[in-house]
Amino acid sequence: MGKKVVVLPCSGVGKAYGSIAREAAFMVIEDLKPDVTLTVCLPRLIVDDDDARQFVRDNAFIVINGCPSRCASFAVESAGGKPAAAFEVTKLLREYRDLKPDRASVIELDEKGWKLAKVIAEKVSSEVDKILGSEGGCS
Amino acid sequence: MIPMVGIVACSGEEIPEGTVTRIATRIVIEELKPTQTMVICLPLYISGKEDERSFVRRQPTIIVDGCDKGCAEKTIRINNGKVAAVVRVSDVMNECGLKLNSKRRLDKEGEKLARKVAEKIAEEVDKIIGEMMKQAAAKLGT
Repeated sequence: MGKKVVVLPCSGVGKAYGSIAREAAFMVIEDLKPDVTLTVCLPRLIVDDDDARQFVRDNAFIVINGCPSRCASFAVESAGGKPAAAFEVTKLLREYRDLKPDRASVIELDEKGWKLAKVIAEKVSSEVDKILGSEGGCS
Repeated sequence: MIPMVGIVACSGEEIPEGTVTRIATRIVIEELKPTQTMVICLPLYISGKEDERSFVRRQPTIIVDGCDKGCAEKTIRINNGKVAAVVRVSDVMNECGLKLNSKRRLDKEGEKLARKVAEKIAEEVDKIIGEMMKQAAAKLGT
């Protein structure tokens, strides 16, 4: 099996930003790059789980943070890794002001939330290509 | 102290049970117990956000874990949080015989399971709030 890129969203449950990060991650791992990406449980990276730590050391991570607290980045760093690329939903919202989601749309994103998730998924997908390209095909 | 219970979902994305923890938690805080519960964002708690940390130190918390790895519970206990109850999706699945098919979005059976888990959480909220009220009444000598 070739090397894969791990896409880790913060998946915060408090605001819509975590749901957007989560949805963007699933768009990448299930729709855009299903053969070369996967995700992992964020809390597993924090608890004393040797397999998870080894997994962080062995794989390239792209993180999607919901807000400036950068929790997904923190999780990877806590497990001894460094994200190869990091995105932040709130930062991207400054670029895409017309896609501000309803803050209450946590379980089910509203239309703007979906559109923003798609924008982020495409950006993440480009980063996946860059990472795999720079690793010479990762066979 | 206002009786308020924190709900912490593992929200793990590797398994469908993590998605159930998310949905069940939102059902509780939006629909079943909106005035008695507050969601604690586990990633924020993990990264040391003081609002989340201090709430969990002061107020009782219900943990909603997806599987028996118990990552959310471990995380809260490591940091001396007040764990009042633990609801595990895998246990509820075994009890009611429901199955999960997709981790991204729940199907009908998954939604039914999320509702069952939410009801379990709500029962725990009632127990905890009842106990808090009893203790408050005892303090006042009534």
